[in-house]
Amino acid sequence: MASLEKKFARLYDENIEKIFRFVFLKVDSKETAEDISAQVFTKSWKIFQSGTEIKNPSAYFFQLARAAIADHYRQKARFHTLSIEEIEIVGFSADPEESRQLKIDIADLMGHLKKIGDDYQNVLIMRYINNMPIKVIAQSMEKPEGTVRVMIHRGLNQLREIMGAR
Amino acid sequence: MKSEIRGLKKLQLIMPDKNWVILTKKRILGANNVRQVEGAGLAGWFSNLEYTWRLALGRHSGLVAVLSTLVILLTTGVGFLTYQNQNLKGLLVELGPKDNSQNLTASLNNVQKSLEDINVALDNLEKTKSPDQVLAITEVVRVTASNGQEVISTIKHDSQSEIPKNVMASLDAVQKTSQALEAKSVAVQKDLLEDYIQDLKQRTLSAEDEERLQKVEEYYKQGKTSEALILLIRIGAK
Repeated sequence: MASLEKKFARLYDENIEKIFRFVFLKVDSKETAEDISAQVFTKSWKIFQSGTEIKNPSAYFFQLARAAIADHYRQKARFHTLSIEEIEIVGFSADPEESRQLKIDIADLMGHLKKIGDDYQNVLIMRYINNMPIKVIAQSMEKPEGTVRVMIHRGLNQLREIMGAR
Repeated sequence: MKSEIRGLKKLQLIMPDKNWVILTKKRILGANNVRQVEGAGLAGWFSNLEYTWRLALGRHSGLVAVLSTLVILLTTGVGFLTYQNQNLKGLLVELGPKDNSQNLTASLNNVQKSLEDINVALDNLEKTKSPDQVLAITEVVRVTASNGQEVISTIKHDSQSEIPKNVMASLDAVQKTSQALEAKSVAVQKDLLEDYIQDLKQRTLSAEDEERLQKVEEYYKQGKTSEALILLIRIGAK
């Protein structure tokens, strides 16, 4: 059991930030993002313990995250207005005014991202924010790699239109 | 496309709360596995302590500077604490001449001193920070101190015959101080948690927060401190 725990602990360390970031960008609430992210790892730990083989754990975590986000919207379906105080950034600037401005920019960007199609949001977050390889994104989205590339391209086009329309 | 991608890259700065990351891991896997911090062994342990004290004391803290120096000293001066191998037997082979074990002893003695400083600083923490911050910080200190003891126990158990006497004495001292640090964190948490729960019971809370408070009390009675803290931090949060 000890080596399984070690292995899972390492996967947790490698993926927790990416999963949290992905969920936060989709749900706009720090508390909900924490709950959903914890749920993802709790569920996947149970699967690990059961001995089920998971070929690509990162892709699996994202699949669980997407499903949990969809459940969240189905069950709760209430809007949450994001406060910039919920945005936690690390390693930027000690200057409070600069940090505040960055948080405002980030909240703005999150708003733009929300306006494009859900699947396009997902692939852009995974590719450009979480730096995931196309192969892993394809496994997470359960789509062919070629389709993912097209989605990324279309997602960026939509985002450009939205940002250009400000 | 470049400006959109540049914009998206800014979102990489979004990070989860580090306390929440550690507490959640502990909740899912149990206390034994919070040792899996970045960099195994004593270096990882001290990186975690250093982070804790950055949270607690802010950038102006001399203690944080001391801890940073210690981590660098440990990881470069002696040359073995930068990663995966917790097998002190292998490390001692690398150490070689007596001089190196003296360096190691000196480093451990400095660590010992810093742990003692942290122990004293815990007394002042309550006065300088809000209760929920103190609780979160003491939980991280407690888990980190506990992990540190385990790391040292493992090192001593695996390599007892190979460890020079002076190094062993220093390891013992660090272990003992870590035990004291853990015990103090637990005591601070217990008192604070009880007071905080009673205080919140007197206040007018939203229905959601009332529910959270009930759960906090349940977890506290069951000894599930991490779970209690995660919920407590959310009470009254926007």
